[in-house]
Amino acid sequence: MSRITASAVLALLTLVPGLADAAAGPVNVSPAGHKAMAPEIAVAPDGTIFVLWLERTTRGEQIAAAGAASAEGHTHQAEADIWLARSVDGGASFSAPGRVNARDGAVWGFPVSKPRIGVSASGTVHVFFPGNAVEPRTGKPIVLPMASRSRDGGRTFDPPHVLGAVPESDNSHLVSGLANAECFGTMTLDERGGAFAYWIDTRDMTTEQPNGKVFSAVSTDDGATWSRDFEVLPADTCPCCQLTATTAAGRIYLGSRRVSPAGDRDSVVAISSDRGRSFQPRTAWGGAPWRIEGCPLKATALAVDGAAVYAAAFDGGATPPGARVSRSLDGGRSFQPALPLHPAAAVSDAPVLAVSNGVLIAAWHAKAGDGPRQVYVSRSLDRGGAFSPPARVTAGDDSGGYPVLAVRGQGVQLAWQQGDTIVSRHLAVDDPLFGLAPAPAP
Amino acid sequence: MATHALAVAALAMSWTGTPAQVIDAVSPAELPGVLGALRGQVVILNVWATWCAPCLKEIPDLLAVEAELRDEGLVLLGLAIDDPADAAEVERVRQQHFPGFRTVTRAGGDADSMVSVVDPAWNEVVPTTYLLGRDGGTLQRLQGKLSRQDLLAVARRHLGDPARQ
Repeated sequence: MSRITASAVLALLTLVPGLADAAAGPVNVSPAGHKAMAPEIAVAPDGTIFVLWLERTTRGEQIAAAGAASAEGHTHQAEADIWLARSVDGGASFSAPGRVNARDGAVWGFPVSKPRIGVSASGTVHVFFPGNAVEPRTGKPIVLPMASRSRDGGRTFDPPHVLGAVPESDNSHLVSGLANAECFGTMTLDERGGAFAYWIDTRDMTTEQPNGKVFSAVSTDDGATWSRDFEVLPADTCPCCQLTATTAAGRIYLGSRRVSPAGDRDSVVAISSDRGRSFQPRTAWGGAPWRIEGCPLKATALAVDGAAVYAAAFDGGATPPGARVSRSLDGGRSFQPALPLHPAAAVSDAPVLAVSNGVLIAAWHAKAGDGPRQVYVSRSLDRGGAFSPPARVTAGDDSGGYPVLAVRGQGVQLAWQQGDTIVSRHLAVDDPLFGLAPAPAP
Repeated sequence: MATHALAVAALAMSWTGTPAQVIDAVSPAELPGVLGALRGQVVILNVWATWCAPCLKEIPDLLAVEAELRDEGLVLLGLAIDDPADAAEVERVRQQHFPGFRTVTRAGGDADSMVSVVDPAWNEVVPTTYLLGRDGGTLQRLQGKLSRQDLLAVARRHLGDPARQ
């Protein structure tokens, strides 16, 4: 590059706001005035970055008019909106956000039960979310899984497909003031126009059997039509631990927590080789058994790279408890003992994973030292055998948490919640943040 | 702050025989003051949420344990981590099902910031129950729904702990 050209580029970087900063640090995605939480992220084949988030609202009309809470007082009523912003300049700036759901408060969501987003090979943007509805027979509120797609780059969305059947059972006395809950779900896409949605379903829950089943619906035409729902996992799934899923080489990998007869809530991975019609028996990850009668609200993050399958979760049975990652080098048939991502932290949680160019990258939130929790990252150059020391991504005094990752270029696009703001930045696999020496395996 | 002061005053009154039941929204900065009003007692601080079914099953047992050991210096206080926008729903649930359950709700900040006042290493699991000593220090953390027998045993152990008298 000539000196003149280099000067011109430097001048351009100086003149275009945010472009130089994009390479150096985080960019706010949600504008001021938004109280944003629970981000999700996807990168389109053309490089467009999509970041969505939730905002609670009190404007919801349908649920407010529906029935009251159950006799036990348990209430799951919640109204939220999904907001979506996109970046076409590599994360240097993000568009003004648009609301995905047409009806106020149509979304039932929290940071631990959030919408999912994916972009298919055709560029169609898919959003899968737990939707508020009213059960017609009883008039009680019900949460149903819904999917909506955009074929104009996320500017507008089609009316949502309701993917779950309205059950005949009224379980409001068991699970909530809701007639039923079909939520804590996930969605993944394949390269052939397949969209695969999964959710935890209370329709067959009883007093004696308080766990959830996993149901699914499948689209093979890029979200234009969907199958009827069908059961894929039996009634032993932790009912409050959000599902995760990913696809690779024609397989679907589904992460959940299975409740053992003794009450352990173990992270498990199920694999389908027939586009979601059936799943092989679930394999436990490499974490310790965690026995608890409560609401752990802990997902099992997944990433796949060839025969390597990685699972990360909050390991409540470990000493000390915290975010750990386990690997399988035989395609998910067995997992090695989980390694701690942040052993020095007082608490570490909400891990997520991505593999870029063979490098495994993990992000999580943790408290290390004084102050609120912050977001940390680490990488493994040897397929999960060892990890670099935890590196803090966030800055400032606001609490940072709930990171998400998507592969972009030679690295990942990272987003997280910083206070009430959603923030994003790119992280190359060779970013100096990862440090020079990998942490020794414990 | 006025509501916070009212909450502290009402909490103090409730242990002098007045049947005041308290629900009030407090911020993380205000929570130490609420807990400080309970110094001299062994406190069961129960972190719960209206959406947590095991939490709601456990509360009657917590109330029973408090009733049994109140004369020995045990008090129960709930900390509801529901969204601040849902404070009215918290109160509706409490009034309908656990009217004797004194609890505070979030006035601001996230749930982690609230619970971190007593436990910086809280892992966002509910229910989480803390035993606080007469000096306000955190003695023990318990997670998941506990049986009444287990709660009684734990409370009795800490009521009898001479190091915290």
